[in-house]
Formats: sequence, structure tokens, C-alpha cells
Amino acid sequence: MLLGATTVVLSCVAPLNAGARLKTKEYAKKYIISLHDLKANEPFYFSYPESGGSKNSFIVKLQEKAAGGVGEDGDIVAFNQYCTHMGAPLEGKYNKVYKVMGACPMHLSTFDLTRHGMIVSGHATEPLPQVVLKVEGDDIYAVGISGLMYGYRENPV
Amino acid sequence: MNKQNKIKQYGSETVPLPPVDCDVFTTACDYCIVACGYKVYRWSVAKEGSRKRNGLETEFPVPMMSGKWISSNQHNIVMHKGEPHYIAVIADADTTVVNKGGDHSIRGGTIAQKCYNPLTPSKDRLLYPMVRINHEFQRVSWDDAIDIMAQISKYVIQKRGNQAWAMKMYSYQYWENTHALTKLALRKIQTPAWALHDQPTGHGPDTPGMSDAGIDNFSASYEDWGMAETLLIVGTDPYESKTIIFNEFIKPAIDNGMKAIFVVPRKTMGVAYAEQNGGMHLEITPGTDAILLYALARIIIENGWEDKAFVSKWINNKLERDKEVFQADGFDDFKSWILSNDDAKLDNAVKITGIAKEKILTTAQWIAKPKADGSRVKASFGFEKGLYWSNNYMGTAALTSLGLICGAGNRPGQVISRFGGHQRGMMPGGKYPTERLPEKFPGWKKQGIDLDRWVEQGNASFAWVVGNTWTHGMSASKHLEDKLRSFTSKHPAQPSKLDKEHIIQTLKQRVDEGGLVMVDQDIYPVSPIGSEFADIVLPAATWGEENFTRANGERRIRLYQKFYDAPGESLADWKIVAKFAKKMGFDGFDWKDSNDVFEDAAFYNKSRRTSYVALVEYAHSKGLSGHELLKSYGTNGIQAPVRWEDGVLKGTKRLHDDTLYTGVSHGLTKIDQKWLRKFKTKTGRANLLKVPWKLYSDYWEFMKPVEDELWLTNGRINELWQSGFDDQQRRPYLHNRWPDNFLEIHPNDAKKRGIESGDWVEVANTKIPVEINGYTKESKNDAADGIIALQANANITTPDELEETMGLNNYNDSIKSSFMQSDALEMDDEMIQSIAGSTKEQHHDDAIMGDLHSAIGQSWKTIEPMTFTSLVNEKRIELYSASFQAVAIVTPDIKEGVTFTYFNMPSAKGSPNSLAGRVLDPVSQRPRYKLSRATVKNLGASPYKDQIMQMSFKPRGIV
Repeated sequence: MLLGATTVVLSCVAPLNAGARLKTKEYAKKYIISLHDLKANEPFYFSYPESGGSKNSFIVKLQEKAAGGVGEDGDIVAFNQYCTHMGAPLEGKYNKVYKVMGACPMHLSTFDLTRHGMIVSGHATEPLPQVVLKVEGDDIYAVGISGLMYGYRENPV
Repeated sequence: MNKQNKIKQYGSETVPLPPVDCDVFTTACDYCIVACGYKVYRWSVAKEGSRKRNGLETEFPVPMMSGKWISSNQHNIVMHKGEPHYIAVIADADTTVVNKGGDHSIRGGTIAQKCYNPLTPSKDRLLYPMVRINHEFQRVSWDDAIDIMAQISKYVIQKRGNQAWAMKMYSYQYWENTHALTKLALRKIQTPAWALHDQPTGHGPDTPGMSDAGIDNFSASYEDWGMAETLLIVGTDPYESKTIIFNEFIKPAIDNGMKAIFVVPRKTMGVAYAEQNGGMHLEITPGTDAILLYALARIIIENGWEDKAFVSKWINNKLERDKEVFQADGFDDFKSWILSNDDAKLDNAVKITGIAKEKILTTAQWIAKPKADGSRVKASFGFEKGLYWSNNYMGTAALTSLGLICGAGNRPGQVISRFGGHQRGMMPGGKYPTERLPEKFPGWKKQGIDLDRWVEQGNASFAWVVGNTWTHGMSASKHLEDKLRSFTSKHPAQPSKLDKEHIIQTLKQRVDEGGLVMVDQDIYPVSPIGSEFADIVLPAATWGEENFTRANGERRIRLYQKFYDAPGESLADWKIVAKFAKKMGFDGFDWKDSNDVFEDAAFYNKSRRTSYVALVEYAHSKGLSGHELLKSYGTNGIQAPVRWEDGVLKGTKRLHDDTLYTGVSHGLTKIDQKWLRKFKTKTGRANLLKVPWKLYSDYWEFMKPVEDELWLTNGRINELWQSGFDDQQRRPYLHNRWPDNFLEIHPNDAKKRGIESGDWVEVANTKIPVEINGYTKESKNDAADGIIALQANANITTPDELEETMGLNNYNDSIKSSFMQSDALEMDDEMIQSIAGSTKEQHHDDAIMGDLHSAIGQSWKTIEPMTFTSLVNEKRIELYSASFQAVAIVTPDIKEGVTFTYFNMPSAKGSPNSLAGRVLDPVSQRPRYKLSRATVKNLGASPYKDQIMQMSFKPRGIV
């Protein structure tokens, strides 16, 4: 939906949840980690899209094929780590048995990392925002974010 | 890069922010009992707020836990005064009660999308009255629709009597609406053919064991759940279905050392969290809770751990009435009963419930064993449908008796209460007309009409369905669906042109030829009631489209404000009722707005648990309307009963609380209602109840899985809870998570059947017991002579098989001899109304019972004919088949031998509720729809198995 339109009428407003529409905000590609440095089931935390500041995102090799996964096995995914319920950090809450992030320490929401960060059980009103990845040789780059990061009205420019 | 690397997400890239001058409304969530407080921000689409300056008075990005974020699923565009406006609906970060600080569930969190917007999946809202012509619905005017209904209604009442005019309505969708609907059906039409959405019978308590003990089932305050040292939770996980009670009250208490014990067959998040933090999971076999609860009571009494001071002060030491069946004659009588009751032995409980002996013993210690210094543990007892919709009377009696001997029931942090289901939205406008009932227990009270059975037999000619699925809800049966179809859409008399007189004549012809004219009133087309069976469909206005009121599970009343235009020509239910009532010539429906209904209802219900007449009187003294004053209380609202004392308006935190201070009252408020500070019995002391397992065991034994069958039980999940009626199919974010119904199955059970997560399975039961017949006498006087004679030619499907399976022909005698001691009792006490409100009731001998309804006083003679065994012997049970399809989720978190499914998912392929029996509790005539058995067969992979865009098969209890 576009903001700032001054003459919107109901009949021409785009659907609010437009099914399968891509909702990815693209950024200049940013190097995250190399394939050989990324250990299976050991999340690596990094800052994205901004450099510096808090390590608000993580990348993890799930050893299970995942939606949006990169690498030879399609099992490497990255997400923003702030719970989309009320913003609590999920760092340290990766569950390697089930490939789930959570439970959130505040209210126990869990997110399925194999399915775009879909809520498994809990309260979050957005999937966990997924960092779009790209592999070039041995290097993994982030190129965008799909989904709104907690706290923002628009992902940072 | 393959296709799966294409990221697909729902949600928008930016969210609109309200400008500083936006309109702000307070409301509460439309869905579950907890009723979190919300704020609605509304502003013209021509404006917007900025990141730094906006109507939320905060700067974006907002900090964590601020409660000020608007996610992409929390806004919408609606029409206000015909102009498009943005809305953002977010939990109220400023509220100090319930969802403190803006906590919220996923359902309420996405409630902005509930609002009608024709460019969203809400586009199929009903917009205009319609009549079915040649099996297609065509728009008509309100006047014509109401006129047709009134003419048919008058015809039906005149020709067949008012009991041929039926209503099946929700019990919860706002006080103004339920008041109007019941005023029409019960006070004006005076039909006994009336039932609420969750049960076929129209009167009596849902948790009768509590009522008979003298405890209001919503006596507790939410804070009580966090004040106990041990919390025993039976038949529910409040994390899944009471989310914010868990988040804000139970979880913090667990974090501070409270031991939470869950009695459920599944390990969902709340259970897993409790287990990880010092609590316990009692993985129970469905339907056996009462055995466990009485076994716990027996262990406690064997050890002398009962709360002696409490028992001495608060337990009745004499019978409420003479010659009582279930009520203990004081604690000593209960003690001797339970110590001689073999069913309550620990070893038997281990065998029947499937719970380890050590866990049962530890539970008894945690809830009752005095501490080293002699002081007592503070224990509370909460429960829900897994208990009382499996074994209604006995389950609630056993839990209450256990709680009472542990000293709970009337003190802060020591409560016995329901957590709740839907919000408390019933505010009666009439009393159930028991004098008109055609069926009664022999020698005893009249029995409320079982509306399903009544309609199936062709006793109704007009049925008005308001806001429920009927054929797929609780007690659903294929039998009912088939019958309704044959009486309506498959009946030969069908209107063929859009001509009012033709429609009326054709529908009258249908009445004459044994058919049924049906009206369905709802917000969406409901299948098959509204999409196939109904002759007339009426569009209702709902949440946000009218000013409404109701209470949550701690009796907290809030105003749910109107903030946008109701779609099309839809009208609030109370307005539709008023139109119809006036057309029928009834007085008392000249309300100008919903506040008028609210104030009318207040006086009619002044002695009810949710009494708010003091609020209305106080408002009037300040020159305000009731709604206006309530609005000023915002999301905090006020807890009922509302009292005007010492010059101020006060809420009531908990009932039966003898620490409650009551001051000098003003106005009409009944300040000295005994049950504010004492239990709800004549003496003010509570009753212990001794209910024999054999009251229920015949049915339980019949429902037990045999051969390759598994237990099948049903319930809700956090993401869909009291919200399925609009959001499962219409909220892409939630639909993506749960696009189809599911069946949880244990890995060992799955392996035997070759089932993996993501496979479609067929879940079938070919021996579903359904109670049929009765109501065969034509005249009222004949009918009132006793239980209705049976049809001689009743078509029993497989009587031999039934009797063989039962093998329990003699158990009734054993009940009499072993447990009853009083088998020839009669009582002539008047029926205690299911519906409070009649001013007459205040002079009733049982006025202190308020809106409770007693099974106390029944003799075994009155109960025996209603047992499953008797019904089988009387050939009143037929066996039916039903099946549904679901996507398998293989998980160790469901007990082996048990399967679990969602109870009524709109997109489900087949109705899971139809697999449960329709055989009502002999005492309370309440359903037992949580209990079923089924075969489970693999049908092959579902599309969700290998694609990774929809549905997740991860366990629900990953802590």
C-alpha cells in the first residue's frame, strides 16, 4: 500500500495482504560470512541492514532444506532476531533439533526457520523478518529484508 | 537458485501512521474470554502522521516492549461516514489490567483485518437481506424480508403452537444483542424450542458440579491465577486458549516459583514451560479426569492433609435438601464415601488415567500437604472444556470437591474457577419457559428441549439461526445435518420467483407439508446453514460497527466502541430483532440506540453475576447514559457486579470473598447478596459432592477405542481460538499458518499406520452413538406425564452390537446399592431457571442461587432413565458414521493412543464434532463432545508436506 496518497478511494486501494506478493526491501549487498566459516546449527549474529550498532540479525545453517535457503543444500537462512510480538531479542534461543527460533523469553513465541520464519506457536503478528541471502563463491551476502522489522514503520533505508 | 529461494511474505513494506489529530477509540478484542483492551486509531486516508510526530505520541522505530508498534497486519482501511479512513488497531499500551502494557494475542493482534474492506478477504461479508429463490440467493429489502418472516412466524405459531418456532443463537455476541434476542424468543414468543450455540438444550448450568457445590464458575479474578503456590489446571492449556492470562498472570508466577500442574493429553507451550520450570504434566487419557481428581481427594484425606480449618468453617455440615443423591452430608460423610470408593483408589486411577503413580502422589502433596511449619500451601484450581465437555456433571463435581478440601474457592490466590471460552455476552431478556416443556424427567423437573432432537423429529416449522454453525458446532451430528437439509433445501416446496406473496404462500405450504422455514443471520455466509439451508439470510453488523458491551472472564465490563460504518445494509442483531418484533406486534422494542437496550437489560438483570444496574443509576445521577459512563472507563472497564457504595462506583474483584468490604449502598443495588462474601448456597457454606464413576463409565467404556482405533479429542490452538468464524479463512497471515485442519498423532501410532507429517489422513468413526426420538406425544398434558414413550418402530441401526459392546446391563443396580442409598426420591422444587432475570425470581425460595441451577435434589430415579445404558435399553440410541480429513502432524507431544484435532475449523473437510457422540450427561443434559474414537488412515501426501510456504509441522511446545 502506498502512503501519502491524498485521493485514495476504497475501491482502488491495493489489497492489504496481497497473497503471494513479494515484500522484499532490497539493499546494497553486504558480506556476512563465508560458507566454510558457518558451522552447522551455530547461529552467527550480525548487524543488518545498517553496519555497526546491535547485532540484530543471525544466519544459520539448519541442515534441513528451508524456504529462502541458500548454499548447496538450500539450508542456510538469515533472519532479524527481534521477536515480532513485542520486540524481545531472541539471541541464544535457536533450537537446533527443530530448526526453530524461540521460545521468546518474554511470551514464548516460536518461529519456524524452515518456513520463512512462520509463527509455530505464539503471538507475533508478523513472521520473523527474513534476510535475503546470496552466495558468490564461498561468500554469503545479504541483499535485502523481507518483512517488517519490529519497531519500524518502514525498514531502515 | 531454485523456486524455493523466492521469498514470499505477507505484509506491507510500510505501515501508515496516524496523525496527531486522529480519532482514538477504546475497545476490547472480539474473540476469546480474556478480552484484552485495544485502542483504535482512525484517520482520513488524506492524512498521515510522521515518524517523529504522530497520534501514538511516540517516535518510530519504537523500543521493545513499548506496545506502540503497528505491524503490517494491524491496520486496514474502512469507511467512516461514507469516506475511506485508515485504522490501526493495537493493544492498549496504557491499560493497567488484563493485557498490561499492551501485551496481545495473535488473534487480537491482527483484528484490524476483521473489519470489512471489499479489497481484502473480508469481501464476502453479507451486505443485504436475501431470499433463496430456485436455490440461489437474491437481494430483497429489509421490509420484505421481515414481513415474510413475520407472516410465516404467525402462521406457524397459530397452526402448530409456539414450540414450533425455534431459535438457535450464540450466547456471547454482546449484551445488547442477546438481550433483544432472548426478549423476543423467551419473553414474547415464549418458545421452549430455543438453544444456545454450544449445547442442544436450552437451560441449566454448563458446570453443574460447581453450581451444586455453591461456587460461581467465574468467581475468580485473573490476578488470583498468579497468587497461588500451586496451580492445578485441568482440561486446557491457557497458553493456547486464554493466552494473555498465561502471559500476564501464570507465566510470571511460574517464574517466581509457582508450581503449575497441567492435566491434559497434549504437551503444548504452557505445559512444556511449566514442566521445565518446576511444574508437571499429567498426560491423561481422555475422559478420565474425574477418576484422577477423586483419587487425589482420597490420597489427601487418607493422609489427613485436608484444610481442616476451612472445612470446619466453609463446608456444609448438613444437606441442602433432604434425601439428596450426590451431596455429601458434611465432610465426614464425604470422607467415608471416598475411603470406601474403589474407583478412587490410587492403583485404579493409575490404570484408568494412564498417569504414573508418582505423579499423582506428587500432585497430592503439592496441592495439599502442609508445610514443615504446619502452614498450608495456597492452591488454586482452574479448568476448561477438556474436563467439562467430556464428563460434565461428575468432572466438575470432582474438581470442586477436591479444591474445597484443599481450602480453595473463596480467597485471594485460592480459587476454583473456569478460565473461560468465549466472552460473557449473555444478558437475558426473558426466562426459559419451563412450563411449556413437552418432556420431563420422570417424577421430577421438566427437561429442556433438546433442540437438535426436537427439530430432527419435525417438531419445528420455523428456525431462526443467529451467529452459529449449528450443524458443525458442539454436539454436531450428521443426523441433524441430513434432517435439516431434507426439511429445507430438499423439501419440495421451494419459492421459484422473487414475489413476496408467492414466497409466503410457498413457505406456508412447506410448513403444512412438514418442512422447515429457516432464517440465518450472520456476518458471513455459513455453510451449510446460511449457504444452502436458509430461505432468508440477514446481514448482521458486528464488532466496531455498533456500540456494544459485555464482560470478560473476570466479570470486567467494557464498552466496545463503534468506529466505522457497518457494511452494506447490515444491522446490529438487536435492530433486526426490534424490526421483527414490531412487525409481530410486540411492545417493548422501541429502542433508539444500543444504550437503550443496555439500560433496559440492566434493570432486568440486576441480581446477576454481571449486574451493572448500579453503573446505569450512577451514570444517570451524573447526567450520563450507561454507555457514556462506561466509555470513560476505557479499556480498564469495571468488574461486575458493579456496586454503588459510599458514594462511589466500585467493581467486585472476586465472588464468595469474605474479605470483601461492602459499604453503604445507594440506588437499587443489592448490596447484601450473600454470594458476594459466601458461597452460593442457602447456608453460604459449600457442598462436597460424591458422584460415582459408574454414572459415566457406561458411556466412557463405549467410547473407548477398540482394535486399531485411537482416542480422538478436539480443542483449539493459540493461532485460532474463538476467532475461527472470521479469521481462519480471511486473514492470510493466519490462513498461511493453518490452511487446513490437522490431526496430531503420536510417532508410534503414526508409524503403525505409515503416516508422516504432512500426509492427508482420513479420520473415521462408524459407531457414533446419537440419541434420537422422544417427543412422541402430541398433547402437552400427555407429554408432561413422564418421559416420553418411545416410538415402537424406532429404527436402531445395530442394536445387537450396541448391547454387546455395553455389557453393562446391571450396573444401574450396583449404583443404587453401592452409592446411592436413596433411590426413591421425589422432589417438587421448581426448576431453577437457566436464565436469570425474571424479577419474580427474587422472591423465589432459591433466590440465593441466583442464576445457578441445581442438580441437587435429584433422585436416582430421575437420573437413571437418562443414563446411556437406559437409553440403549430403551432403543433411544442409533449408531452413525462420520469422517473428516486432516493433515497429519506427527509429534511426541500428544499422548500415545490419542489423537487431537481442531474442533471446528471453517476450512475443514468434514466436521470433527460429528465423530463425537450425541449422548447428553444424564444429570445436566450437557454434551460430551470432547470424547471420540476413530480409525486413522493415510490418504497420501498433502501439498503442505513438501512445499515450504504454508503450514508448519513443528511441535507446539518447544521451550
